[in-house]
Amino acid sequence: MAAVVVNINARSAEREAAPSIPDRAEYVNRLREILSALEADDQALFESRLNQLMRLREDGLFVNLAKLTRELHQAVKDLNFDERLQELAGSEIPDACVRLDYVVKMGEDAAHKTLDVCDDSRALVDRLNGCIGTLDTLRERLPTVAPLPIKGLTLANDIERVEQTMREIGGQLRSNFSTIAQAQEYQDLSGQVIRRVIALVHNIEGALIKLLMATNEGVRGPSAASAVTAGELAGPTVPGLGSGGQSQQDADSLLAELGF
Amino acid sequence: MDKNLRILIVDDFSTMRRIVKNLLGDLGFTNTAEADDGKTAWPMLQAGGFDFVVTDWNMPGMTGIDLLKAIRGDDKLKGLPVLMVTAEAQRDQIIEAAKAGVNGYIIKPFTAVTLKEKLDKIFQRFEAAA
Repeated sequence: MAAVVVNINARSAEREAAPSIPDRAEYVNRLREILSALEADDQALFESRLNQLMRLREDGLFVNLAKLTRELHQAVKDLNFDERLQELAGSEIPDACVRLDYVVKMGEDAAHKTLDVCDDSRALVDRLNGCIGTLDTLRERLPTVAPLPIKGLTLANDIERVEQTMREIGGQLRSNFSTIAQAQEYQDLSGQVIRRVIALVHNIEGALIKLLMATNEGVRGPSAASAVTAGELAGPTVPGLGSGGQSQQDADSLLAELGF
Repeated sequence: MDKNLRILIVDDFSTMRRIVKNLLGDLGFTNTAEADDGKTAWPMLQAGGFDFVVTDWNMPGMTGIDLLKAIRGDDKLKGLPVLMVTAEAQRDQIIEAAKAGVNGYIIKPFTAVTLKEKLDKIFQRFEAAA
């Protein structure tokens, strides 16, 4: 690998040593010709010479483009990037997509499980409220039991039954809380999977930067993260990414400004 | 406020639809239906009977903003109140939604309090206008 890097540096040095303006004499000649046509006020000659100059410039561009393409191809070959990129594009990226799909599914399953238990718990709380109602009715019977011990016994039994129901509901609620807590375990697994995918993205980033440097004389670093392309949605605001996302308060005041 | 309003909840994530449905239920609105994107929602709205729409923005098929525009462009539906509940929080998007005629804009993640606040505000306006 070190030898390859040296090789690239040597190529960059060659490029730096090259004259800054190729075909300098040619340009000087042509510009003089254009100037003399202009001074002679010869419109046709001026246009034709200007066109010739522009063609010279275009030809130069195509030559450079061809050169760049060759260099890119060579750099990819030198660094075994074709194999590495093929591996990344051919298997690791599709693999990462499968992993991320799995993360989405795990999160969704956990959310549904939690929501199911919440629905169940709501029904249990309704039943608990029903028990309170029943106890209220039983309390109304209290004054009638003093003269008749048998009534007292029935009342005690009725209270016992309500207590039993409340204990059962309490037990189910407690188990529901455990289920909700346990449903969060997906976060550990999805976190691990996401970290692996982040590592892969770093690898790809590294490979692309090396490729850029090898073909672009290493002058330009990666440009800042580009803004969202027109027509694409920015999605959820992520802390630390500074994508210009508004908070609910920002949104409220913006809408207020717009007359909402 | 009529708690029997028929509300259509449009979101591509079934968990979010359930959460919105539960929150609306807690506020007393139990007459709800669900659609997973604008394309599914549109024939349901066309069939009539809905008084309110809560929609996400980013959905496959037909987005919430396109659904909103379709509603505003439809003679029968143009007066239907639409509340956008979305993760899209860019200034330009909020302005686009406002221009398209949205009645309220909630940014995800959101709380039950925010949902209640926005619903109250929309209903107050509609009652004042009525």
